[in-house]
Parts: sequence; structure tokens; C-alpha cells
Amino acid sequence: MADEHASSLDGHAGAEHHGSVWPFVIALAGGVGFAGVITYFPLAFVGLGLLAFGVGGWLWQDARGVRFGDVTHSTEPGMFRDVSIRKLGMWLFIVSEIFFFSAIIGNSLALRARAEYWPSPGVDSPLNIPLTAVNTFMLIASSFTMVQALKGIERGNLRNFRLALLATLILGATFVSIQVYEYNKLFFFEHLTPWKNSVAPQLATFGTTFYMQTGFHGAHVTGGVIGLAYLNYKAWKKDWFTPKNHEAVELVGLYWHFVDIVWIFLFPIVYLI
Amino acid sequence: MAYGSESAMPQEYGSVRAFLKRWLTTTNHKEIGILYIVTSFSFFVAGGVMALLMRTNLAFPGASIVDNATYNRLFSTHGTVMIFLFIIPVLTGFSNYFVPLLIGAKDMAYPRINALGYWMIPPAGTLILIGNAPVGWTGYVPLSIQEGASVNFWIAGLLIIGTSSIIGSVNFLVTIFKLRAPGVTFKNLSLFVWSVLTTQFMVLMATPVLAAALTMVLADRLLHTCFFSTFASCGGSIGDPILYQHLFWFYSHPAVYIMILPSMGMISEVIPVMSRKPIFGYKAIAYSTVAIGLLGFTVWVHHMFTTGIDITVRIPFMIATVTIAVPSGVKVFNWLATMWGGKILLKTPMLFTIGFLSMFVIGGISGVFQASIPVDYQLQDTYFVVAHLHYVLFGGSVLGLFAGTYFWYPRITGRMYDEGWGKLHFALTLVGLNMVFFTMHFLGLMGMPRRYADYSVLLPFQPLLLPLNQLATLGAFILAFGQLPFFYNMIKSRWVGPVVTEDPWADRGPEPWRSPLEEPTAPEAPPAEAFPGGGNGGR
Amino acid sequence: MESQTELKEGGGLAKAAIETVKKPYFAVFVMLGVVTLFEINVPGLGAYGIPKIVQITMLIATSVAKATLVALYYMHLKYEPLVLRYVPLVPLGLVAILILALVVRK
Repeated sequence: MADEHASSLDGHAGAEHHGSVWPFVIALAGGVGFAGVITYFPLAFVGLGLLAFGVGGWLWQDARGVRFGDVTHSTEPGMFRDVSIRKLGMWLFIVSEIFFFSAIIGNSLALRARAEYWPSPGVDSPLNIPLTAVNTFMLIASSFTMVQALKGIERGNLRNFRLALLATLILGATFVSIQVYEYNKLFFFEHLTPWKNSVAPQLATFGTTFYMQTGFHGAHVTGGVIGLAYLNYKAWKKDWFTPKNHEAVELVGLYWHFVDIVWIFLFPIVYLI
Repeated sequence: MAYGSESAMPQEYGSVRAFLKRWLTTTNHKEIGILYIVTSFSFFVAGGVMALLMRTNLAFPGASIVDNATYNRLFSTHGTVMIFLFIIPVLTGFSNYFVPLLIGAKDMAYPRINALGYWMIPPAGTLILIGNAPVGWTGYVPLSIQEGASVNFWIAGLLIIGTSSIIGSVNFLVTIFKLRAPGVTFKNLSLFVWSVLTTQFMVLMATPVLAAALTMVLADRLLHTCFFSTFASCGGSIGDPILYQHLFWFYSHPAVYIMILPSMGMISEVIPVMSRKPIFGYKAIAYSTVAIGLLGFTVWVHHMFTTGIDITVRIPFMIATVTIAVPSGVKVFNWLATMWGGKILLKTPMLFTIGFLSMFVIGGISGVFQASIPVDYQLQDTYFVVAHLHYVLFGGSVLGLFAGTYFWYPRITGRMYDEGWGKLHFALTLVGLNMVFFTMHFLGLMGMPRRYADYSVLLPFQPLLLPLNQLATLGAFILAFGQLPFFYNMIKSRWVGPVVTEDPWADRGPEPWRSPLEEPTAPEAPPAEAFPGGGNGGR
Repeated sequence: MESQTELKEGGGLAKAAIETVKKPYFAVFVMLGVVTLFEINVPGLGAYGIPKIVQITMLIATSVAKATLVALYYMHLKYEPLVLRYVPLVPLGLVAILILALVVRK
């Protein structure tokens, strides 16, 4: 009995069954970072650094091709037989994101329904519709270039794949940059703050909902841009993505299009109504 | 391979370094399951100590052993710890250990994300215990916006736990959908796996809403935004506190089913084995699980009947709440029908199962009372609610959990627990829990409000409150000391319990009924080498 | 379009078959752009006496149409097994209940 277990321990340490310390590091980073946000803010940067270290280690294990668990055994086909494990995971993650954004958008709509005053677009709203319209086109175009990248790698056209992926990254980064510019303008020149300020006190709730909705969307776009940067880096390596093996492109694409869909709803709700 | 020998718990590690390396870097679903279970049970002890302090305080009128402010912290953290750090993670732990075995998978779909989900629990628990926030486990606004910095810790802890739950749910769902061994279909899937499937769908869809709500409270606190704030700082346009309650209960009502469904799944595994009969109404139990999952999302406003929401909103939620008793009843009757005429083996798991059935029915029926809007007006925020929720969570979830723990103990550790200590644990638990929680029904009907540290002002009108509170406190002590045999048994048996070499629950009578874990459900079982340390995946 | 529908209903679509299906990426892009052009002009419709409620209804319709286009074509739900469409679709019912309960006042 004891011998059997001893051998199982060897099995865990050996090449057959790999361990990973990075989940522990990332979780610790989360704890430290959060503790920093709520107590002593510089600690949040320690958490962020630890997070980068943990994610780096995680990706490094990926890059070395370390495999965890064993999913190679034959399985019952089931209803999702034509959907890969990772794609189903991404779709389920998107479902949870749908609920997150619904809660935030629903809460903002409810606040609006209860508000006595709400600025009207084109009348007294501080928001710049033409600028954001340009940004909206940017995001739609990035979705288009993203599917072009996928098409490129599916057909083995590396040049189109790399160009389209790069275009997606640039468009996404531009979206974020324009949003930062817009925030800067609204915050410092239009007196639109997430809290009540003395210059435009009537805009308090509007500011709250505006920054919360667009801010969380912007954070998701930023996450997508980081993912796209990683994809771009991999795309320039020889033979990393092939017509047969490019699921990461499709998965980041799914996430990217989902973020686009969120904007499709946010743009009219925040800017046009 | 002999039964129990696939245990993920080695007898010795060699060195401290090997021990740390094994448990800090593991991505194996069994080992992560054990980590979840052990961690959660230690939080169970912490939450239990808080409950004892509260009950001791309530045994005498006035602030007898803790002051009122401390009492507020105690009941708040007791609730948060028991729900978010004990029941939900411990059931996740059992799911982690047994879902891959029961579907014939070699591991979870994303082993590292599985480990990440576990490792988020200790930092989150630390933050929650450090904060010890006095805002109830519900953290209603505006109180949770006004309170001091402790609420920040509470929110941070819950956000981390929420993240852990969401990534865990994606992992479970993908595992169940994609990694079933050939032959394991939704027609013969273990009922425990059915319940985990439903539970994890609820986690996936409900938890992000809680995360959003807590994020907005945190923004209101740190950035002074105006989501839920009613203060002058938000000026002419004020936030609405009711919205927080909506968002909170959109998570927290499904959370009730997230806490009970896996226990029900364990019960569905224990009853047929211990009754020596196949489960009665497999489809009915499976579908009623899914029905509870769906209906569970449409009842949350029943926590808010007294907030002045329009009656046209309240009535559909009242009807949905009453309706949810139907699938629950379907389950209870199917379990009883499985036991009916069976050759019942009255070992500890079965004792706890029978305890679960009776206690769950009491808790379920007092729930239907309160679903009725007029009755709810009377009972809102009284000890009747406390009695109801403890019958469902302790009498339901935790008794089911104990049944599953004893039932699967030999499989997890490779050793048998001590039956005598187990029966003592059951007896003390059942007596203690009824003494403390049944008494609370009367306290509630007499008008004693929940969350009060001191009831001395009520005593002139209701002198009975004092003896009843003392009875409940006595029951709480019996219940608490009744858990000592459990921990002693579990810890001791893991080293000195008799080694198990064959299924201890197998029927060796003239007409043997073999446990589903022993029975090959899949024509093609996964190869034995898939399981380090032996075993054959429960086949 | 006809042939796609046939293939889709044929059940488990082979990977090779998916890749030969022509995907109207550019057409979808043009449609998304045109609809967005329409959208940004909706607030101006107030000047022509079109009431707010009609504007809101129009915007909901255009948003749902755009989201559907992206989900079906860019996220490939049109070419995936039917069951995958239910994964994001079924929760939308719950989302609708949540938002309705939030927005209804009192």
C-alpha cells in the first residue's frame, strides 16, 4: 500500500504528470492586489507585478508545451461533439460575461428610469457623438479584420493573416486611445465625473453610469488588446499557427467579437438615447 | 485494482519539501478536491465558533459576553464564512473529486484553472476574516456604504471567491459536456453529476451579477459614485438601494440551490446503494434537478416582499416560489420510493441521509409558508426565517454533505472510518440541530427579530423568550460538541482506520446489488494507468 | 445561402465542408457600418417630431440586428452545431427577467 503511494508521488513529480505552481502565484497576486486596492495602494502594484510573474510563468509552461491532465482518452461524442473543449470553455465564459454586463447595464438603465434629470443627446449631453461614432466604426472594422485574420490562417495565407491580425491590434489600441482622450476631455473640461462635483452636480448619476459602463467595456477591450498583442507576437514566429492548428486565433476572436457586441448595445444606450 | 487504493492521499511524503511541492503545485482533480474539502472544514470550525459565541450571548438578556458591535460582526462573518467559505467550496471539493471519476474522465478539462480556483479560496478567506465586516452576510446598502473599512475587505474577499466560482463552473461544465467516457450519456449519467451540472450552470450565470453588484458598492465606497447611495453626496439624482437588493438576490437565491443541489446529488448516490435497490425515478430526479435550477432564477424577489415593490411584480415571484416546492417534492418522493421495500443498511451515511430527508422537509415546508406574501410580512426578519434557513442549510446541505463524506471516506482515504463515532456524531447532530433550530420557529413567531444582540426590551411582553433562547443555546452546544466525534473520527481513521480493499457498501447477500461506482457504466473504461496511484476511474 | 442551410441541417458538419462554405464577412461589415450610420442619426430625428419612444424602439431593433449579425457570422454561430447557439441564447431569457425587474419602478 505504502509503496504504491510512494510510486504515485514519483509519478506526480515525473514527466508523466506535471504540477504547476503558477495557479498558487496568480491567486496570491489576486489577494495581495485586492488588499492593496482597499488598504495601501502601492501594494496593488506589488500584486500586479506578482500577477504578471504568475501569468508569465503560466504562459511559459504553455510555450514549452507542458500538458496538464490527460484529455486524450476517447470520449462520448455527446451534443457538443463538433465543438472543441477550449471553444466550449470560451463560450461559457462569454455567458458569464453576458450576465456581468447585463447587471451593470440593467442597473444603469434602472437608475436612469428613476432619475429626475438626464441629459439628452445633441441637446445638453456632454458626450461627443461624432468622435464616438468614429470609435464605433473602428471597433466594427477590427471585428472585420479579425475574421479576415482567421480566414487567412485557415487558408494558409500567412501574409494576410499577419496583416489582418496587426490591423486588428492597431484598431483596438486606437479605440482604447480615443477612449482615454475622451475620458480626459470629459473629466477635466466638461466636468463629467463619476461622483458629484460642484460645477455640474446634476450630472452625478449620469457620470456614474457612464464611467462604469464604458469603463468596464474599455477594460475588456484592453484585455483583448493584450491578447491580440500576444497573438501578433506568436504570429510572427515561424510555424506557430498553421492552417490545422490556430485555435487560439479563433478563441481570441470570439472574445473580441463579444466585446464588440457589448459595444453595439452600449453605444446606443449611453450615447444615443 | 482494489477498492480505495486509488486514494490520492499518500501515507508518507518523504520530506517537508516533497509535501509542499505536492500540495502547492498539484493539478490533479483528486488532490485539489482534498484541498478544497480540508480547507472548507477548517472554515466550518471558524464559523461554528462564531455561532457558539452568539448563542452564548443570547442565553442571557443584555450584552453578556460580547458587546453589541462585536455581535454584529459575529453574525455577519458567521453567515459569510458558512456560505462562501464552507458549504460552497466543500461541495465544489467533492464535485472535483468525484465528477471526473463518475463520468470516467482522467481529470478536469482545465487542470491548472482548477488549481487556480482552489488557491483563490485561502486569500479570500483571509480577507473576509480580517475584515469581519458588521453588515450581515447580505451587505445591504446603504449600511455597507456607510460602514468602515472592514466592508472593503469583505467585498474584496467575495470578489475573489466569485472569480474562483466562475472559472470553476466553466471547468465543470466543459468537463461534464466534453470528457464523459464512451457510453456515459445523459441517459445514464450519475445523479450526482446531474446535480453538479445544474449547480455549475447556476454558478456561471448568477455569480457575475453578484460580482457586478459588489463592484458597484466598492465604487460607491471608494470613489463616491452614485449607484446605490442615498446620501446628499449624490445630490439631485440619487442612487437606489433597492437595485442592490435585486442584484444581490439574483445571485443569492440561486446560491441557495447551489448549496443544496450537490447535497441532493450525494443523497441520490447514497440511497440506492444503502437500500440495495436501483434509484426510483431516475429521470424524474434528473429533470427535477434541472427544473429547480431554472425556477431558482425566477424567485429572488421573495426576499424583498416587504420593500414596497409593486404587487404585480411580487405575485409572479410568489407563484414561482411556491412552484419550486413541486420539483423538490418530486425528489423527496422518489428517494422515499427508492427506500421503500429496500434492504436498508443503517450505517452512518444512511442515517445522515434519513436525517437529511426529514430535516429538509421541515425546512422546505416552512419555506413555502413564507413564500406567501401576507405571511412573509409577519415573519420577515424574525427568527422564523433563521430557523427556516438553518433547516435547509444545516439540516439539508450539511447533513447531506455528512452523508456523502462518510459514504465516500473509504474511497478518498483508502481506510474505513469508525462506525461507532459516526453514529454518535449523527445522534448528537440531530438532537442538537433540532433543539437549536426548531426552537427558533417559536422565537420567530413570538416576534423575536433576527440579528439582535439583546432582547431584554421584549422580555416584559414575552417572558418565554428567555427559556426558549436558553434551550436553543443548549442545543447549539450539543450540536457543536457533536461535531468533535466527526473530526476525531475523520482525522484518526485516516491513519489508523482499517485499510479498505473492497467496496465496503457492496451487498454480499444472496441477491447482490452493487454500487454504481463498482458497476461499469461505460463499455470502454479508461485505462488504469490514467490514475497515478492506481484505481480505474470508478469502473 | 441555400446550400449553407442544407449543410447545417445535415447535422455534424465536417471541418473541411465548413471551410469551403463562403462566409459573407465583407457583406456583414458593410451592413454593420450602414446600420451604425443610421443609428447615429436617430437622436436627430427628434427634430422631425419622432417621439423618444419610437427612437428607443428603433435603436433596440438596430442593436439586436447588429449583435445577431456579429454572433451569427463573425462568431460563426451560423456554421457551428445548432446546440452551441442555445448556450448564449437561453441565458438571455434570464437576463431579460433581471433587467425588467430592475427597471420596473416600485
